[in-house]
Amino acid sequence: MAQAAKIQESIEDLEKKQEWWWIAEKKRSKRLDYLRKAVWKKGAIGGNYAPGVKVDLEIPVLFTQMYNWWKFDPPMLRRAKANAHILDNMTIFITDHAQLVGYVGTTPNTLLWRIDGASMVNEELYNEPGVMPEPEQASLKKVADLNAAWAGQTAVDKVARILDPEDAVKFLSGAIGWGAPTSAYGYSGKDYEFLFAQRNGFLDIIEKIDEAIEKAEDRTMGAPGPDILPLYERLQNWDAMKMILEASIRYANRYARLARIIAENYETDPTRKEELIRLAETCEHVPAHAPRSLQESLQYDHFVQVLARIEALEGAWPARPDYYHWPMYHKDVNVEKNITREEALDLVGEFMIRAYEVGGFGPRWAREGLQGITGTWVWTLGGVNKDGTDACNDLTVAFLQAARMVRVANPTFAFRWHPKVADDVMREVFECIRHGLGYPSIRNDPVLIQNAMHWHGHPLEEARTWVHQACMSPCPTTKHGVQPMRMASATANCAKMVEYALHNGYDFVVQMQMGPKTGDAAKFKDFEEFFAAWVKQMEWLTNTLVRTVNLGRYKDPEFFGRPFLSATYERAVESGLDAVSPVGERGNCWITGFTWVENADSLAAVKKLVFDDKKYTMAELLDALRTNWEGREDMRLDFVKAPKWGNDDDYVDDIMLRCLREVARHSREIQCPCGNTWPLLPENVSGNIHYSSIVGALPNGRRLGDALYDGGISPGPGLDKKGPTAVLKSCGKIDHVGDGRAFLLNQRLSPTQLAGEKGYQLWKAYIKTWADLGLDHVQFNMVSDETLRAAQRDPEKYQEVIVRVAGYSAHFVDISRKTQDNIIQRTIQGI
Amino acid sequence: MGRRDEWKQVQNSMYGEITKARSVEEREKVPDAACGLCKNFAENAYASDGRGLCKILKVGSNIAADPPVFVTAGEVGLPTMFNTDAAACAHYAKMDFIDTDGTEVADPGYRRVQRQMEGKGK
Repeated sequence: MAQAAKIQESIEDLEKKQEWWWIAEKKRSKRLDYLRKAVWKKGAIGGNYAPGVKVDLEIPVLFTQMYNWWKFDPPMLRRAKANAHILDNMTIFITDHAQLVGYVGTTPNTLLWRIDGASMVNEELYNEPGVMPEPEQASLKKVADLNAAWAGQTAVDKVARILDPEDAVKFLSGAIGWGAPTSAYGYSGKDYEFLFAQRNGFLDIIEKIDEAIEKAEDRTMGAPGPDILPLYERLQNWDAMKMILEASIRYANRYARLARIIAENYETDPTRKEELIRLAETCEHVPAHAPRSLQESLQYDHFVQVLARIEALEGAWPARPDYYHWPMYHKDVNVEKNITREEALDLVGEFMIRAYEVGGFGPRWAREGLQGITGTWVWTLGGVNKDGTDACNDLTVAFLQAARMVRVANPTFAFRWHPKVADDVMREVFECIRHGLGYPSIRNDPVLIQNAMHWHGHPLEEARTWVHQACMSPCPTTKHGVQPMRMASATANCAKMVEYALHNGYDFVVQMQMGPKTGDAAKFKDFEEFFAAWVKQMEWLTNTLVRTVNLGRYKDPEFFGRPFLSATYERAVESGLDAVSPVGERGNCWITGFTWVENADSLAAVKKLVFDDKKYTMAELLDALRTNWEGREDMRLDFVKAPKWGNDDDYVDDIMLRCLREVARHSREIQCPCGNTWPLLPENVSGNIHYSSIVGALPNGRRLGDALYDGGISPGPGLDKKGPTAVLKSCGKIDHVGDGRAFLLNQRLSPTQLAGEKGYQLWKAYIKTWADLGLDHVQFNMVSDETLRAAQRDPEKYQEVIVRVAGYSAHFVDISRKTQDNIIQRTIQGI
Repeated sequence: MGRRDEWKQVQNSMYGEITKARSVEEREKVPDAACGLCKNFAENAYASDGRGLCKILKVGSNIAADPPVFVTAGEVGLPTMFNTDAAACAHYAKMDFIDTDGTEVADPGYRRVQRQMEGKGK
């Protein structure tokens, strides 16, 4: 009833109340409304999956059957056969009214479970409440049997066996980082230039593979010599790539057949019948051939994404849809006028909904660190073309408009701002932010292109193709520029750097000597001794994580293997090597720095209160920290009041710069398997909440259990007391090219202040200052405290309120109370 | 014993025997005095498969032995599972309350989110 009443309210009234979700419902087409409401929410609510969401057991059973059957095959071929068996046999479905198809599970409410990733995740799944399909007892037995078959045989098991045991124990403690050193999970990149710019369908790629096989066989059947020996393995890989592409075409054809069966036997509505026939024709054409229309272009992309995810639990969705789908949009809407703009908007909106639908079973740390979503689907819009001209187009605008109608929390957008972006595009960007989506985040294109050239040596044209690989990091989409897999285990819980410097490397939470013994902090004579200990702990922590990832990346083709991903990579198709092999890649690694700003604020507080003012001794501080400030509230408040980052205060800002420059120096001393650098990228997702009970008390006044800061270079919530310009000035002291890979900045703005045309002009002026200061990133929450508190009191009424968490957006009701409070605590900046 | 061997021992105790494949019955059984019900149990922050560390006992302890072995000095806590039988442990201290609401976030000291632990804290 309440819902019906809302529908009757005028759009003007709803706009006044900023109830944008009701406006979306009124404005979108009936099809989009149905599809948006029909989709199952896969993101975890806090740490648990929503009722009704179940793990898909059909896919792991199919995979295990065939994987065991071919146990003597080389890794990529074995996996290709097992995955092809899935594609030929898994149950498929078409959602009513859908124009796009393909899902990673066998029913719409299921989560993909990649059983070959990690035994500990498999065991976690067994213990997880609520996710077993009915009948539960039979499912438990099935999962127990599958887990027994895979115990010790998964990709992570294999890496863990060869890691240095000290590194393995410390990494798997969960204290210093997260992620898994395997391409079974993580953030894969896509070679869009090969698939879309070069217009290669899967049959075109198979032709290229056949040519490569023929050339290799000319040599293997010729004069013997050491140079031909590697080709025998590569021939097996080419067979694997070809096999999985052929299976993928069959998989698409199964959808075509299903669509025809429904159209010819069951559908009574003639319009829908026509749609189903068009859907069938689409799936008969793509991915076998390059797309001819917008629908085929989007369907091709979606198939590629789904097929890659059936192969591995990819946690990111790097994409630049307005750039790569523009030719077909332009042809259909502007040139040939095959479809109207409204029909194109329907397709674009559904494309987003299909991505929102995708979900896989993730371990608890991932669910808590990415509350409300199942991966960081950050799609890149805007930016420049390879020749430096403005790449924004009407499809850019269509995506921004569709986002306001479907209001999904995932995918989100990041907009590549540059000085030539037209005002009408900026207005559309702003409208999304004003509508409370929390996206797009704004990225400084000129700065980030320069950054990509500086850190990883991408040539200018290659750098200009960049998309977000995961939340924040730019990655080109070219043959040598694309990074196949960013394994998330180079994600550092940076607050441990200062914690270990204080406690001689001992971790009181996990009860283990973790970092090096850098000395009893009570005996440090000055700040420099303390800072030197911090540097050593920073180097140890980053070294430990990077060693783990490097080994995982190096061994991945043997321990996991990605036939489908390889088949979509130009360099892998050419070389016959697994796409994850470092050969032929320039290198594009980064260390994600969770809980970073706590270091600067803690170091500054110690410098001020222990070494400069001498108000407390280090021994007193250590005692207070070890007892979690108990009985020392006055002392704790002194540390809270010490200088804090984000207030344009050089006392603490200089320490921040010193820390960043030490990491930048070290980033060049450590190398990825491609021989390139490992720059830092401070950001958090909701890791600040996950780690809240893992990071001990800190000298910034934080207690064990308190939420950490919301991340990147964002000031601590409520600690930025001098206004938005001071925040920007502090952040502007950082060299956003040379000091690290990228720097996340969360800002909250007042929706009341930013209403109307005046609001847009204020925001635009803010963005100009931000750009002038050379910052690379900023993202906004523009939902009032009043609305958020009302949503806490009455979540049923506010199911569609979206907030920016950090690096991603989520429905407010899907994040834990602690995360909700943390967002409300952030300062609302008046600009 | 060299550094590598020492850590190998720790690695084996953390990720070896206690995580080996078990039957449904073994997985489902939660003894009256289970480690997961003890206030000295800290769940692993990386793997929520039920493994954790004892905050009192260190590596080298064996609470399943007869008589049990209690080692309280060392640099690494004793690895254990949420449903390990701690009836013979001299340091067992049952928690008064266990948060089983998995929609809230992790706390290695106080969180038990396993399906098998539902209702055990009452």
